[in-house]
Amino acid sequence: MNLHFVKKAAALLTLLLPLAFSSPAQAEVRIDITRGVVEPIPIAIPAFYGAGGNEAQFGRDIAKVVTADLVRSGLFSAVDPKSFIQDRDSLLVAPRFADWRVLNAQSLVVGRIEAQADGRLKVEFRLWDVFGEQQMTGLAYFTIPNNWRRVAHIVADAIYKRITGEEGYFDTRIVYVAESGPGTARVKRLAIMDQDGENHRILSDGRALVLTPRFSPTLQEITYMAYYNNRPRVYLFNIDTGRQEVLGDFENMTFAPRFAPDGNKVIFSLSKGGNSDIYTMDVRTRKVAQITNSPSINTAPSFSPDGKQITFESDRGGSQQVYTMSANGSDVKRISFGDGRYATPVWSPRGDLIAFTKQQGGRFYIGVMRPDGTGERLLTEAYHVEGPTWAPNGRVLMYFKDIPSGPGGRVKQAHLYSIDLTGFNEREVQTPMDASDPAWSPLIP
Amino acid sequence: MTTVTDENLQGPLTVSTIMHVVALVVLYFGVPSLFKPPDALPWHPVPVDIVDIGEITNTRLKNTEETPPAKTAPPVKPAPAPEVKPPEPPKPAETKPEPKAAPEPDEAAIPKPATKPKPPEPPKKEEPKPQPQQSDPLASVLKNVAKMKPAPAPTADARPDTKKSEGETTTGASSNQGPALAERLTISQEDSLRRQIGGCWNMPIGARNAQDLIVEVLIEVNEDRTVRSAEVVDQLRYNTDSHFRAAAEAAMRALRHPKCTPLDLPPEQYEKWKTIRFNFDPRDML
Repeated sequence: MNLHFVKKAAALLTLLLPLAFSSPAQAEVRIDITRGVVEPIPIAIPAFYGAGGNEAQFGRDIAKVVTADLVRSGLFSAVDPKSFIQDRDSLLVAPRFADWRVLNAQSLVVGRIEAQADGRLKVEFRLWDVFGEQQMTGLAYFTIPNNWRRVAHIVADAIYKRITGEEGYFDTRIVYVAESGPGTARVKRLAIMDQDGENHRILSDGRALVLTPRFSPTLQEITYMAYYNNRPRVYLFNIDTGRQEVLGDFENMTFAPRFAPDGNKVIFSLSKGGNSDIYTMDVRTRKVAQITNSPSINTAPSFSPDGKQITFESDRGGSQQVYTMSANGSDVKRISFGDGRYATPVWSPRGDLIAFTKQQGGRFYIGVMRPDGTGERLLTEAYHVEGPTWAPNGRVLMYFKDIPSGPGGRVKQAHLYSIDLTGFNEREVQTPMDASDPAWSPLIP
Repeated sequence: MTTVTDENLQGPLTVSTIMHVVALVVLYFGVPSLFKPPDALPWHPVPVDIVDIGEITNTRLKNTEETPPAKTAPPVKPAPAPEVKPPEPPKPAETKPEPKAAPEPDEAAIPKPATKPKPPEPPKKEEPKPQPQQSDPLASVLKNVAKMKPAPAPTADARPDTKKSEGETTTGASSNQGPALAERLTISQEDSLRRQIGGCWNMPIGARNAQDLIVEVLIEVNEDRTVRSAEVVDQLRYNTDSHFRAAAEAAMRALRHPKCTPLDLPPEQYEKWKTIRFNFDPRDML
């Protein structure tokens, strides 16, 4: 009898158990969002608060530089300061998020400058998520007042990194070839400036023709090709000391130099009897290694960020194309297969893309493709555009364009441009004179 | 005599009776089939998808002009679509010995001989960029000047509708296996919500490995259709991967965007949308 009852109860439970687990009391809606918009994030950056007149001026200047950096990236738009509702004194206590939400600001930067007893400035800021009503980050820096511009770039980098997840690139410099004079007697000098065009400086005297400068990852050195006494050779230049030296005493022409990611080696081309091959040289020991050995032109080498691979251009297949190989020269693969000619490949510091110059149908293009050659996209085109260089975060490219002007378009004006790798936000980079061959520095440590 | 007659009638009577019975039986059961009766048809359940149609029928396609490109950075223009041409079969570049018969010694004197070909003469004027008009909303939003040159066909206006509805029904279908019919939003209602949030979602298209930045967010909604709480499901990744965190925060901003508040939901059916699971997936737009 007892057993019978237990059996019955068990049967009943077996029937009821699935019911207890199956039907959820709360239905849940699932929505897949596969389409969105691509537009700049509105950010409000009021002048950083400063108690004294001097501090207040720094506060205004720093906010201006931070705003300009972020807006130039194309990923942010500045909310007009004239529309701000909350005053700066109450802002120091806490943001009134509703006041910023109505302005459609998604992020808010609240900063403050304090002069220290030792003469330095303390620059601090907080980044607020207006919709989420919480602080995203808060940082403080101490600096000598003269250094305020760099601190502004560092603040902009911190904001950029916190919101996009990518490293910033505002605290960087650009080295390029400043051109002046008539076409027949063109003077090409090495010049350097902050990435926003400030602190412009000419580095070389113009007696030698300078081409293709490249930054060392350590930032103190630049390598480039120059013609001295009509001998084109690769040089090293120390920015801090102004000292210049030739890289290796080769009989033949050396050109297209670029540093390895660790800064210890320079990779370059050496031409011999109509062909050219790729070599590396240890900057300290001056030991030379030949990487390619092919009866064709092999040039424009660029290391992958991990230093394990090299991309370069070659005409070994009959036309000028982009190749990759391992760092010791083995495992050569052609990666460009589109119409036209492909040149000057540059591996992104992010590693995911290779930028290149392409010539097709009488036009020049700057494009990107994956290291396996897929996903080719052309970002910009012009009568003549060349020399792509990556921002250290691998998100932005800079290059130069020759723009025909004057009677019959005979006079060419060269200008620097930058573009987001999505292909949007192409902007001219202002330089005091004509500019070509830009090279972007790593982040300044 | 009568008996004889009776007896004479007995035979026909029997026959008649039998015939009647047979007739009745045939009437009742029908004519017996001479052939083998067909196998009984098996019962195949026919799946019927019963779909609720909201009072307002299909939501209209959102006018793309509602989200104008910003002046400073115009990235809202999706580039026309087709993927990059399939690469020609790779030439066996390496194996080719290619004896350069006549190496030109002159080339040696020029730096980067091949990289700097003479710009063509006469210089053409920069032709005005073809306006990348709204062509295919499902296409990559990454710009490609090569794709833009062949301007989108004039039929482009018509295409988005069809393409889009395709895309949406497929995505909508995934939610069909969810809760019981009465507890679900209608497809039109889901579409409006999807479209609303999509208009507030700034996609992380330029990020590294953007195709992996798929964010699932679980939200609880107040009765006034505002978001009460929103939580990224993959908390571990949120706390360890700065790219994912940035993508997740972009998704959260979409859900809290003033433009998307209150949520586009049927106010009288609160029980249906108390909690919503969103999946932000930018893969189709890359």
